[in-house]
Amino acid sequence: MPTAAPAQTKTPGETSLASLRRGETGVVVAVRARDDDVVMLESMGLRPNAWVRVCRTGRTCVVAADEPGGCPCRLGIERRLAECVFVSAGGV
Amino acid sequence: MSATQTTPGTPHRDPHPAARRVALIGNPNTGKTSLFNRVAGARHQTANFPGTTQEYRVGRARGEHDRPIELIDLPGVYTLETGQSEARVCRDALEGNALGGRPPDAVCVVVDATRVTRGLRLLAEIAKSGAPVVVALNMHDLAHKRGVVVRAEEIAEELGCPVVPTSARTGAGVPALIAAFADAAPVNAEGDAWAWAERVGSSARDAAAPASSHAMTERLDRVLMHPVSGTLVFAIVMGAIFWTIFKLAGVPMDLVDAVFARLSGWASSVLPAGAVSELLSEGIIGGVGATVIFLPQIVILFFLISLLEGTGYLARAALLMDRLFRPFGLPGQSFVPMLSAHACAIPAVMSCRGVPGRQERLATILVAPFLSCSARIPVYVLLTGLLFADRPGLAAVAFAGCYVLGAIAALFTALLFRRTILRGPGRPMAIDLPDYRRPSVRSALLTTYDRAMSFLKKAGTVIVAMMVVLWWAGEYPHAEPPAEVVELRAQAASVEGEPAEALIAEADEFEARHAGRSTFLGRAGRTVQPVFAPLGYDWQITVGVLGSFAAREVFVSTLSVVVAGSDDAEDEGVLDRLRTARRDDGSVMLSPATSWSLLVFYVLAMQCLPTLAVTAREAGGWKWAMLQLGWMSLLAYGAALVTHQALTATGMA
Repeated sequence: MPTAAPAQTKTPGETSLASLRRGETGVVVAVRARDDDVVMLESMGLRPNAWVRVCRTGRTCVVAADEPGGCPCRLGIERRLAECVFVSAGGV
Repeated sequence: MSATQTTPGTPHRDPHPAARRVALIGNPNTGKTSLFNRVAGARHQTANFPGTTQEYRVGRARGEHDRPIELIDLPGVYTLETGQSEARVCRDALEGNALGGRPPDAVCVVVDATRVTRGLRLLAEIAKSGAPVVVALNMHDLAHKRGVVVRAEEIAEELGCPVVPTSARTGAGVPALIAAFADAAPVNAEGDAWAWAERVGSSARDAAAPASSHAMTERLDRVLMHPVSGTLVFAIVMGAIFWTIFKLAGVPMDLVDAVFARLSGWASSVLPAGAVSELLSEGIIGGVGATVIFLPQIVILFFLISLLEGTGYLARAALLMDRLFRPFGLPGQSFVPMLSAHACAIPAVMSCRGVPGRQERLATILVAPFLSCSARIPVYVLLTGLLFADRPGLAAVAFAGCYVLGAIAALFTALLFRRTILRGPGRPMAIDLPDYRRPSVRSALLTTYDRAMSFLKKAGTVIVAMMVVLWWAGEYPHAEPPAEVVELRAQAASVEGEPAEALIAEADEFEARHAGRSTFLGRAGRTVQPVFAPLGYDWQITVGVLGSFAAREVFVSTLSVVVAGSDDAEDEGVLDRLRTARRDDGSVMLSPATSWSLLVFYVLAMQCLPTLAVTAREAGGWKWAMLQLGWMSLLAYGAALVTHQALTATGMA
């Protein structure tokens, strides 16, 4: 019973991480969810300005979040959480 | 070097006040626990933070000038700033509000050298407390292999605290890390944590460092996380674990059984006959044996699970299973306990430590014993065999149906609890998927040792005490042989051959039934029989049910003794006698309706004291164990009642 974001509004140019297709990339603009979820996602690597690539879509998504100069983190997140992460799509 | 002793709910007391207390903290999958194992080895104890289900481990090592070090392995966290239980206990431990009110003398932040920024971000949060810090740049060898170059000296200069490259897998850098605990220093991390971490991290890394090595992980994930192939592989892996537990545990379990039987026989032959001899040989040795017999399953399960976790696969499996369990209020991580419960509920309840979120962890603990464990098999075999004596196909269907019924009961109970007493938002699934890697056998062995010791020390004492009480109630008071038995034995003495043997067997059966009826348990069975009468149970079956309260598999032998005067339920003669056994009113004891009712009862009833003791320990109190017992007993009684009444109404009595 995950909680959804209190306000999942997106501004022009933004799209939710959940709407990206496999292989597509983007840069995180904002995470709009419950406070605890925002802190958790950001601390896991889905923070503003982080580059992300979608590795798998579905009810649970797998995304790779960048680590400058290091190995990207692979994260598995529920679709409902992915819908709370807003990105500016960066092409395939 | 001895480990410190702590128990849930009691303040942590350090027997070595001069010991330097070092808290080990880091993101999940940074090799923190492996590093703990490297430093402390087997010299550690596991305990729960007072009043929580969150565990920590305390280990001992020797530092500079042989000064003792008390190493505390805190739960893996990404941040201290959420309300999640892991973050809360870490905060409490760092602030000195837990573990006896003493803050650590140093905090060792374990940072994954392949992903420095995320670890430094956590360090930025810890730095705000002003605690002296040491950084362990772990998996340094792996980072080097992957072309990620991190200059530890430059980070140390930037932070103003020791930064030690380590490899928990090989042990490289561990002595230097232990020595560095003495030089821990506060770190000044001002401003935004991410910005600070990125600045420090990038200044000490080669800008051109390639971020490679994901290729193999990507390729494997394409198969292992695919809805079809991933589920298939998951089923194969879990089936293999399940099969291995059953296959491999059988031999040591038989061995444990034989050793304790021999020990019991030896004790009774050495000691003079009497109450003390019986207490020692049957009560205490029997009770210890009944506890230790679970150890092989526990050891094999935790070893395999630890190995699997070390490969990085377990996180993927949790993600796959999340879809199945989420509608019932359970997270994907619950699959390990649910699967393990089919072997034995004890390791299953213990493995609930891997389930994140208090409510979800408690729900998993409470429902795990519904899954049909190996101890239920003798009961299922007996009853399905009685119900379908000459129809093995139907017996197999009924047997499989028992497993299905247990699984359904577990899932719907989880749903009920999550919507009532354990209500609250579940933790959304967000999980780090570590790169696939070769697991550390050493670390898996130490984790297994830890779990085994935890079971033996904490649960063993309670379980053995309970077993002794139940043994005593089932053995005492001894009754004098009735006149009929004396007469039968006298007749047997006057004849020879088969007639004599038949008379002796009849006398044994008569005497056993008489003795069973006279014990405290027998009397209790007769007293509470009216409660079980609506389920179709007479006093003999009721004694079997009460006697198997400690362990459900005892039902078969108890019933065999009470009815047939022998505990060998595999003996065809005993089976026949059970099949044709009569009640005091002359009716068939195990009618189809009664057998079905018993089968349903044993699928759903708790009937396992060791599991209750482990539940109390893992859930953080006996109230949870009592809730588990109460709910399962109520459900078992209700379902058995409905079964018996419905079948009786259709003429199957």
